Amino acid sequence: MKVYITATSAITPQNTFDPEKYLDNWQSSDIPYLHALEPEYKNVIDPKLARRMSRIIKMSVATGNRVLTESGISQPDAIIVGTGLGCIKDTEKFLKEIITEKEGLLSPTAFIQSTHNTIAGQLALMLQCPEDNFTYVNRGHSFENALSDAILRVHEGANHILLGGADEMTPEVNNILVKMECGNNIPFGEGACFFMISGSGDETSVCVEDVATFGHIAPDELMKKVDNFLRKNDLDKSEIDALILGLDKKSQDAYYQNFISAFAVGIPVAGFKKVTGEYFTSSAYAYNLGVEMLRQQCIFPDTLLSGSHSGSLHKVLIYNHYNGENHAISFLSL
Amino acid sequence: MQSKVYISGYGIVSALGVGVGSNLSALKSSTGGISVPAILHTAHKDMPVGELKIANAELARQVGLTDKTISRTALLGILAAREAAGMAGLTPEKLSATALINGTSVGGMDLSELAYRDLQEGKDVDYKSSFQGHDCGYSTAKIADALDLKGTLQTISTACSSSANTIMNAGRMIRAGMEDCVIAGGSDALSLFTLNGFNSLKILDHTHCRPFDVERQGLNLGEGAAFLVLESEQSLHGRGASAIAELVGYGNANDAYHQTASSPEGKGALLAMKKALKIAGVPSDKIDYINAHGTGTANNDLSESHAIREVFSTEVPAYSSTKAFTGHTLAAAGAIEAVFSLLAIQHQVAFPNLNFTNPMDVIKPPVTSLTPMKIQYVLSNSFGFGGNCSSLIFADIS
Repeated sequence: MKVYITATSAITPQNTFDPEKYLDNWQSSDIPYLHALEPEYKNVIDPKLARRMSRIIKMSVATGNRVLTESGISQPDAIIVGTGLGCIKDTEKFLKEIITEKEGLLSPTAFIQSTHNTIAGQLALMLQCPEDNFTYVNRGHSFENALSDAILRVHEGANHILLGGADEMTPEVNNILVKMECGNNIPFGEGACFFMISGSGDETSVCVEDVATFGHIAPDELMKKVDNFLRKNDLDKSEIDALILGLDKKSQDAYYQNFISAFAVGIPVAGFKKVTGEYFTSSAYAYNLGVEMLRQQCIFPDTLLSGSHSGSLHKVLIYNHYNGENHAISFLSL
Repeated sequence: MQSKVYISGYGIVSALGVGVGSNLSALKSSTGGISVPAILHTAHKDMPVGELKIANAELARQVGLTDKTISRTALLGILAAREAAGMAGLTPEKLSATALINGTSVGGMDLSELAYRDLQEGKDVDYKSSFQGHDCGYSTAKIADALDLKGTLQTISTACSSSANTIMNAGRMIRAGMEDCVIAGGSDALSLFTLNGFNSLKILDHTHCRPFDVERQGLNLGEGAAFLVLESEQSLHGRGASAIAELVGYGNANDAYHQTASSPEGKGALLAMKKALKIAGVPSDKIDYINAHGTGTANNDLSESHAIREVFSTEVPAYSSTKAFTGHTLAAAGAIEAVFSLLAIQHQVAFPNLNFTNPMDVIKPPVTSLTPMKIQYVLSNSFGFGGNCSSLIFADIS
C-alpha cells in the first residue's frame, strides 16, 4: 500500500535542519562519535518547555514541529515514534543516582523523562493531541515498525500521521557500544527525523511505494529478497535511478556489496550513515535524504560513495541492515 | 468484510506462579502474590512487590537455555509465549509463519543495571554479555528464537499500556489481512530502576495495595509476562483449531495532560473506552465486567473511576482491579489482565478486588469476592506514563 511523505525534517550530525543549508558546510567530528548539530531551539520550541527537555526530546519536538508547520497539519490522526534506546541520557542519569545514593532519596525527574514513550507523549501533550499514540522499540527495525504502523493506519482510513525516528548518544553509551563491537565498523551517531505520512500527496510529495523488512539472513540470501521485492513492485533493475544505503564509506560489507552489484555498473550510491553514523533508528534519515534527493533532483556530493548521476531522479531504493540482523528495503518515487 | 479476531491460546507468568493453572487457582482462592523481594537485591527490603520466587538460573533451566546472560524479562516472556503457543496447538510449521508483538518497558535492564553499577564501581565487566540485552527489542528477538518464529517482529514500549497495545495491533493486523496468526503480549521483570523510580515518585504503597479504596496509598510493583495467540477465522479453520474467545474491540488514546499523571476527569481513559466500544459495535450496557487498570494510586483510580462513570453512567458494570494479586506488572499488565479477562469469560466469574474496605465517592464499589455471573463481554483497561491509554474488549463465543 502506497503512502506519501508530504513533509519531513531532520536533525543529524550534519546540516539538515535548515533547508537553505541542507548538507552544506560539511562537519567533522572531534569526539569519538557523531554528535548531532542542534539548531537554536528558541526559534522552534518554547524556551520554558525546552529547559526541561532532554536532547532527544528537543531534537524530536523541533523536527516534529517543523513537519507540522510545513505540512499545515496541526492535528495529526496519530503520533507514531520509533526509537532504539529511547531516552537513554535520562536512563543513565537516574541509574547513576540509584547507584551513588545507594537507592536512597532520589529526585524523580530523570525517571519521569526516561520512558521510551516520552517523545510521543511530549508531542501529544504539546499538540493536545488525544489521538492514537504509539512507540516502537525494535532494535534496527524500530523506525520500520513505526513506518509500517503508519502505512496500516492510512489503510485503515487515517489521513495524516506524524511519524518519527529518534535516538540520542552519550559518551558513556558510545563507550559501551564500542566495547560491545556492534557498530558494523561505522562510528555511532544520533539524530531525529520526522515525517508527515498521508494517504495522498501533491507534486512535491514523495511516495513510499513499498517497504519490506526481514530478520537475520546470510549475505547471499539477500539477492532473492531483492528480486522478490522488485517483482512485487513490478520494477526492473534498470528503472532504479539511485541507491541509498546504510554505509558511511566504500565498504567490504558483503550485504551492501551484493546489493550494489545487482544493479547497473555506475549506479549512483549515496551512503546515508556518512551523515548520521550508526544507531538503531538511523534508517529514518534515509527517507529524509531520499525526499530531498527526489525533490531537488540531485545527489548530494558528500553522500556519494560510487557511481555518478545524470538525468532525472524518479525512483530510488533504500537498503539498510543493522548488524546483519535487521534488514529493510524501501522503494521511493516522485 | 474484515476478518474476525479469535484467541486460540494464552500463557501467563506472574507473582501468582508459572502457568495458567497456578494463576487461576490463586485468583479463585483470593490468594495474592504480594511479598517482600527475595530475588531482586534491593535496599528496599521491606517494600512489598509482586515477585515470582524463581531465580533466573532456574527459569533458564525451565525454558531449556544454558545461556546465563539472558535477561529475566526474556525468560519470563519465553515461558508465557510457549504456554500460549502450546495451548493454541501451533505446529512448528505454523509457528515459523507466526508474527510476534512484544511489549516491554524494562527490557533487559535487570541485567544491564547491575553491570552498569559494576562499571561505576570500577569493576571489570564483559560488555557484550552484560549490555546486549539492555534494549527492549532484545527480549522480542529471544522469544522469537526460543519459539522458532520467523514472521514479523514488533516491539512496543508505551509504558504500562504496552502489552494492551500489542494485542490491539495483533487485532488491527489480522483485520487488515496483513497477518493471520500473531502471538502478542508483554513481559517485564522487576528491576532496581523501576522500583526506585516509582519509589521516587512516592506512589508505592508500603503495605499491600488497595485499588479503588478511598484510603489507597499507592501501587505495588510486580513482574510477569503474558501472551495471547490471535488468529483469523481462516487461520483457525485451516488448521482445524477452535477459538476460546474473540477480540472484538480496542481503543488507544492519549490523555495529553501530564507526562506521568492522569487528568482528573480521565479524558484519555474515557476516549480509549469509547473507541473500543465503537470498534466492537456494542453498546456500553452490554459490558458485563471491567478488569480495571486500578493501580492503587490516588491519581489513577480517581481518574479511571470518573472515566468509567462517564462511559457507563448509572449502569456501571461489575468491575475489579486484579493488581492486588499480581502487583503492577508495567508493560506486561495489559496482557496479564487480558488473560484474566479470558479466564473470567471461560469460567463465568468476576475476580475479586482484594484489600478493599471503603469506597470512593465516585462509582459503586468493586467486586470483592469471587462472583459467578454471566459474562459475555469484558472490558480491560491499561493506562500509562506519557498519557498512553488503551482499552480492549473480549467476547464469549461459546
